[in-house]
Amino acid sequence: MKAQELWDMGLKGQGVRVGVFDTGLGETHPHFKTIIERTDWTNEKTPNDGLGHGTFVAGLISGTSEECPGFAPAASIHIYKVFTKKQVSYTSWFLDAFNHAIMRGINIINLSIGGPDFTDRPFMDKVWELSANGIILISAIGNDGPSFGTLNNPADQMDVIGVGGVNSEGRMARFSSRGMTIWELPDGYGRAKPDVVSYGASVLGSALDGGCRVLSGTSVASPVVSGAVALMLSGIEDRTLWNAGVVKQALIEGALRISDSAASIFEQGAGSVDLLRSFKFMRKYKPQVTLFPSHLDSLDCPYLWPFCADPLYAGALPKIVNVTIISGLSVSSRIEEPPVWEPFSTESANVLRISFSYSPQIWPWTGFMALFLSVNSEHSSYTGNVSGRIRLTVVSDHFGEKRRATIAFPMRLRIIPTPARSQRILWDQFRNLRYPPGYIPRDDLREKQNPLDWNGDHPHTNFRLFFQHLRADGFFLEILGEPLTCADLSQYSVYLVVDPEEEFFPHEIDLLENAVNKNGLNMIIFADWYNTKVMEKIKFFDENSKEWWTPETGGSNIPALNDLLSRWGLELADTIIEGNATIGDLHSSIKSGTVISRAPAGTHLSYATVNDITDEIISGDSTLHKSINAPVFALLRNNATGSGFVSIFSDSSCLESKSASFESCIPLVDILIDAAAYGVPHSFCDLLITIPSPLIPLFPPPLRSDLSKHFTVISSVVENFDHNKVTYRTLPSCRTLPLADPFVVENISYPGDISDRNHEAFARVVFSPRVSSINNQLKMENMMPKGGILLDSSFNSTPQPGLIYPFISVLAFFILFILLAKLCRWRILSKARILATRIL
Amino acid sequence: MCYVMLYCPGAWETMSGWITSDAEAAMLDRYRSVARRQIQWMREEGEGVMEGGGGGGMMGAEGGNGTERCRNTVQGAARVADDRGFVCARADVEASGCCAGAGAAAARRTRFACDACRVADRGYGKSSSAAAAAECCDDFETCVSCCMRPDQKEALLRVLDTTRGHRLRAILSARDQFELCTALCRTSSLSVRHENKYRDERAKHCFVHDEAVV
Repeated sequence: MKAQELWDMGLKGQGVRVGVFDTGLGETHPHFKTIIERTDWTNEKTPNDGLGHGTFVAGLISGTSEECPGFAPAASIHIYKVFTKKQVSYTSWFLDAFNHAIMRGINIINLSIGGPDFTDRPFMDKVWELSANGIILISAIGNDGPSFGTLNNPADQMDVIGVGGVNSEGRMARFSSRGMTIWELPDGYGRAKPDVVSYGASVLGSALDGGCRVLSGTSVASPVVSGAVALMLSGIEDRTLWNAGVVKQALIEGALRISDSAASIFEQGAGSVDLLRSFKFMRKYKPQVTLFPSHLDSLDCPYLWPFCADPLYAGALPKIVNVTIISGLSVSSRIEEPPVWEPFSTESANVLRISFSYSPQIWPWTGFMALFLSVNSEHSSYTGNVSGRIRLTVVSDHFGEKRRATIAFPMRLRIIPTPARSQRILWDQFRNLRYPPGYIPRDDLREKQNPLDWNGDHPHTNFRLFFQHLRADGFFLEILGEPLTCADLSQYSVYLVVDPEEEFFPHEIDLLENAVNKNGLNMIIFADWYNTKVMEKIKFFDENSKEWWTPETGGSNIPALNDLLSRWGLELADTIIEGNATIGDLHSSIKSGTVISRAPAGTHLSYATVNDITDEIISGDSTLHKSINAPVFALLRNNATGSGFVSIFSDSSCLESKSASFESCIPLVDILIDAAAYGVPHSFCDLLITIPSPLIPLFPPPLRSDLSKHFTVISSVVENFDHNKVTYRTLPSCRTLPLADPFVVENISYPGDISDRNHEAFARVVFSPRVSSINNQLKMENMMPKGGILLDSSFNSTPQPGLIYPFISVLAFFILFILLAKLCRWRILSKARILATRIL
Repeated sequence: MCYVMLYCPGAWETMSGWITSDAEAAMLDRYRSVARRQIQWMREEGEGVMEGGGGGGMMGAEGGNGTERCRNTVQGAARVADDRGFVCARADVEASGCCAGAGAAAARRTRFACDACRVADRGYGKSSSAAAAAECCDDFETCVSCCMRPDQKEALLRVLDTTRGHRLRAILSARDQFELCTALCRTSSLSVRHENKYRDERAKHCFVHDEAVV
């Protein structure tokens, strides 16, 4: 990581105060020489480490052992014990300890902790407050990889430096959590996270017994970066630059993409931390703005997946890109004028349509700019690339000084002719509800590790493999985050609803009935379990919030689906099954699925011999499952011309597996989508049972649970349940955003080398302070936390012309819900591993 | 500058080796009485002049040579409170760190602003003298400003006397009313219920909490 070069300059982290919020540290550990203070905020009555996690983390930052040295051995270390040895922690402990850190003038806080709840407002507000006070928060992104949608809070906050893990070869560590953020769903699009990656697998650090040991996890990667930043800051005399904005810019601008060529921005962020490049960036720093991602390019694949995998065409729902704005101008800056769309040619101006939404205020240090991209309907047969840039000016009042900086976001986008209806699929994201804030239970009841459905259920998160499969087969998936009234259903061959938790507006059901029966839309549903007794069974007492937690719905919302399916005489039951199914000649596993309880004559059904585990789950008695033969798949065709089919499968977990795996039901979707386009093949139907008369209902349908206390709070559709009578909210109006006027700029083209951040396509204008502002800097220093110093003023920094590497990051519709409780709020993010590698 | 050990961050370094909870509690109690005596309070009259004279110099509250300097609350997205009790928009903060008092800016700043604060059960904008009542404000800057009002001294002394445990650490290093108010107005373990919800979603910044809460 090139720490040696900084050490050789005499930098050791001196004068930098690092707060380690962890499991504590023993007072006599031989590796530490600069422990300033140890405080205990837990109920264990000692700041000593009873687990070893805190010792390891502190060691990576400032250990002095020769065998396992830290990055910044001279940094002043403040130990904040906020986790017990049993890994118990509370928001309130953090709040008081964080306040203490502000009072102490801590510069860097390492948080090798995280959890899935991004709605804990008191905690998140405090994190923003820390950043706003100049404290640099560096946090582990989580160990829930390789699945997507697994980011942890607080590392997923814009102002926090979220760190992912790579192994000793510099490739993505499997455990590292991946993007996108799911705060913004369903109507927005997530931000790219982590921000950067660093060494997190099999790293050597300090052990409890005074020796060295090996650990893996993003818990390890985070203090590697914290230590590196402490080391770097000890060489930056201008303390006004010691803040979350500038340091985040430096890490992102300095990072280099990792050698793992398959890793996208949602896995590696800006890449692997390059200490020397970031240090040089800070040495030459002028107040400026960075965007992340820095650019959008259909040809930059797979780094800019999924954008690069998904061309634009006329008639599609807008594609959303969420760009994070990092402003080093001041803790609070703002966007006074809307961003400006500057196509590089008249043709680009004519073809591409852009709308914006953005945070008017950039605080603390960060904000977002969302791009809504679509194609002019007059260009439905256009093929080619369009290019241009979006120019953004940020202004700030910085202690009597007006600061202003400009940056542009270059884009090169692939446009294709509008695909045939047969190739177009509508994905219903609006129907997804997830944790947080509600207790949305897991889809697989056997999965005890995580009781929650928290990965977003999005084609770019946990259903990513499915998305990639469809794209590889030449289909186009459009993602609808609003009610069905906001899409033209006649454009699509298939309406796909997977694992829905949200209800349907009655008007949506009317629209679907009409679109399927009269307009050729085919509806494919992947359901999940629902049983009120099981919901009662899996409620639990959350030790963190001291509240009972009851599921708001089942794995999916079957009462809501049954309202929809009743239009076709179909119905799902509250029976819960597991096992293997064969549909036609296709295999799929079922993990906690439902069964079909009603179907009209003529329905094609597939039966499976599976285990009914309803009673087993309710009673907890593992002998209580029984083998049943039940319909798990239904395909209902209407013979009228111009009508589509309705199909249902029992479970949705099977869509998360690779298509080649025995568990996967992706091959089933292939058949159905082909059937939607070209008609249902006889060969498939012949393998199903076509019932001559309506199915005799053997399995009862579920009623809506009266346990769901908060469902009406988290639902956008339902206002009230009263004895299973539903009162609906008013249908929301569909999003309309004004189109940005194009201002064609001549003589600029998309950069050949996107890493050249001085290219005119970036329109980079930094803020140059007037001489008189020196006064401000003095003043600022007076107000900011004090610390020791630094290095000899004769220090010689090598001039680095092309280093500035602006830009970075992504969006957010701060949908900050009034939260409910949380569970497993934080976990320590480490994993024990055997093989050792030394960092550096 | 570091003439009382308590005021010197370095003093903690000497303690770090032996802090245990009981020892720390005893120590904190000992310093509580020192802090009570040493904190500099706002005077009724004049801008930025603290009670107690001389020591005020280290706060940089007023120089006397016309170059006034202020510490301020730094963090606000839109507004800032300075160490004289003024609240103003970021655009009105001068290079000195003070809320500008010249020209039109003078009318835009407010001092000892309690209008977005409320005493528990008595609504917004009411004055504070009831012993047990909370003093809570909608935003941090207003809270600091309101807390800076000279007549809050008695209420603040009571807070100092009744604060226990962890939170005492954060307020004992306060050298004057501004630092005390800045520390008190931050949300803390007293501001939440069920760990992850505010007791009061609106008025969450309190310099005096309900005694029932404390």
